[in-house]
Amino acid sequence: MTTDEQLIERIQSSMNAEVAGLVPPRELLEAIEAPRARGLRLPSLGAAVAALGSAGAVAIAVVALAVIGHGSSPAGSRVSSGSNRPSPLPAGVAAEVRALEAELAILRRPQTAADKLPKWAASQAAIEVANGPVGAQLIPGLTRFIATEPSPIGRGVERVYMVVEIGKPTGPRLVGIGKPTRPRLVGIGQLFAHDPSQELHVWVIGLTRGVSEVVSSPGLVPPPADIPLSPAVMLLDSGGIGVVPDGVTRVKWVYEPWGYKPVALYPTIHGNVAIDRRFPIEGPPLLRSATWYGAGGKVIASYSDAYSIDRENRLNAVMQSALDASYRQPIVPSLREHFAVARLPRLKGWTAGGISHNLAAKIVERNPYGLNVGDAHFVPYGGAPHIAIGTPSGAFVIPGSRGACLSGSDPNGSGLPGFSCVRPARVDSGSFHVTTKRSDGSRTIVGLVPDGNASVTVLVTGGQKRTAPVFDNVWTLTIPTSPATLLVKNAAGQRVSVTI
Amino acid sequence: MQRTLTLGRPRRRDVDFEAFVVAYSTQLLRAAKLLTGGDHAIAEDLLQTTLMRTARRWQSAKSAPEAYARRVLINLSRDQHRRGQSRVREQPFPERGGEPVGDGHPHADDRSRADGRPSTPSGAYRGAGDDHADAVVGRDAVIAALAGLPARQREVLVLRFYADLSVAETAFAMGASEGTVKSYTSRALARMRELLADPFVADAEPPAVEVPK
Repeated sequence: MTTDEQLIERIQSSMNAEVAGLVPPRELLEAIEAPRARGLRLPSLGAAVAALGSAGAVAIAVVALAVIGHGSSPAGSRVSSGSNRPSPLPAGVAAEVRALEAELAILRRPQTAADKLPKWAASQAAIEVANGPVGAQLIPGLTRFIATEPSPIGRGVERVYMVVEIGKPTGPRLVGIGKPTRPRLVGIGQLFAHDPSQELHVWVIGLTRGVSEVVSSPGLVPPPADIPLSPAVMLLDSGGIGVVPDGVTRVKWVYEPWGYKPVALYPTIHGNVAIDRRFPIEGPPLLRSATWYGAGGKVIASYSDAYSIDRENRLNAVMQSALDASYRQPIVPSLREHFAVARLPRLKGWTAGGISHNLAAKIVERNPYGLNVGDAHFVPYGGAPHIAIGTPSGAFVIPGSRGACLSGSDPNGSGLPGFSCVRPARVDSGSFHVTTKRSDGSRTIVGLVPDGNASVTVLVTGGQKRTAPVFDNVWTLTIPTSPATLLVKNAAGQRVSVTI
Repeated sequence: MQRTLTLGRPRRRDVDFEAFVVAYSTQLLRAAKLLTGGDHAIAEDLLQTTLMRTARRWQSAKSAPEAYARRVLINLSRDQHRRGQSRVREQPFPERGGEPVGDGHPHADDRSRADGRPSTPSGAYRGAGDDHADAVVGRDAVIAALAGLPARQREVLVLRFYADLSVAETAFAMGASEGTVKSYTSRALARMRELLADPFVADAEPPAVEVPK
């Protein structure tokens, strides 16, 4: 049983991830007229923002944040961070801090006044990081100043910091070079300071066996959806930043911008941070490879997107294997015998009745019902033709060797599709149904009944009788939320009633 | 001199509004997307209207523009929700079911529904592992469940757990009492728990009862 805290945490992390990287389009903001005063027409917001961007009053800073994962119970152990102020750390995190310090020399030196974030930035960073994908807590004593960089907008400067935080990683598993060990997570944030308000965006990258890989980038420049997240370097709006371990004396990043030949960049290393604010050309770059060199030019580690491709291929192979096994599952004889939808021929050219491969693979990953997604069928409500404009509403029926699944969406397009799987006896009973509740308080029932039911009858509260036609064994009806009674014939042809 | 002052004052106000937009438009857009059940296009519409209304009432809004804009956004999302059934939703061109899939991209499932989320519901496939695809599917289940909540319950979850507002701030944004907010929160969490339940244990419904002929 999930606790409320776990549920809230799941909801929070899902909401954060869902909207990560979402920023208002510039055209939208440009269309808004700034408030007028005393009849004086002011320029549109977009023009004014552009003017602000080129004004000296706008300061832009970049902050690199390091995140240490695996947070646990908040006991009171203390760890010397090499700073003047040891920070109280949760138990279990101390070892992570020490491991990070062992790899990053910059954390081993004492903290100076210059290492501390400005007060406003520290509070913003704490908020942003707490709300970020890791939900971490800042450790002020481990903040380190890295470098001052020219601003990408051409005026002013940016200051780069590394900050360590503790948190519980909620992101996906990282796979770097070598074995997929549990990595420490390193977050990098970009801080935009607009006096009097500030913004901070945090990216999270992982440091696995000396190789960093971007996990999520909810900042201003989300990677295009169709390219994998770039490893080893975080791509900002005008360049890259990467965390590198001790011993790395030179870093090479090879970009392959769309439609261009690969371009190699050699970023400057400041302490344990490699920075190169140039992109070879404008537009989203694709990092093809990253290499870390040690003294004498020896390669310490390298990353190639071939690793990502290989991983995707392996994942695909596992999914395909699950699908292949599913296709071989026999359909339980009673389903074939009593349900016309289970006797329909497989649709050539359609995969799993229209279910995507990825989703189908997920359905049959463990497959306790022995589902055969190859024999799945999509049944449009009301017997509508399969070819329809837009997405027709209907139900998926997925038969299997140890049961069947039914997924039905609300024919009016609101609410969640219902989804359920049951054993053959329940399917034969005629009472198998899924429910989707609607925002107006009613609910839509989608059911699967055996052959011989041309229609089903539902008795709702007050004795009202509602009838729904059956097409390919599927019926649907929208009724009030109060209990109702379903009258159907089971597979043996007997009339049965069931409360729904 | 007087002219200089006249020009200076509106410019200051303008900059205030711009600073507000720069600081909060991203947050507002993200909240709007969650409030609309993940509809990006509607979220952008809501943000634009919110900002325009805030600009029009800047004199009264500027003391607490974020709270003002949030309340406008909530009201607009309710209006949108009421109109929801009649609005024509933008849909991507439907993909062919026979399209080769399994391309490995974590969002490949998104092809299965016009609104970009997998076509099967709930937390059916969550927790199978810590793979990225699992995370995406699990997240989509939560977002789909969120979209399935009644409007007020969805609002309270977005405001409390995404915007991280206190009960009092949430109550102001929703135009409700704090007790109501607490009640909505409790109901919303209960409903989310129900919607995210694992369907593979859904085989526990009452058995059919035979009716004597």
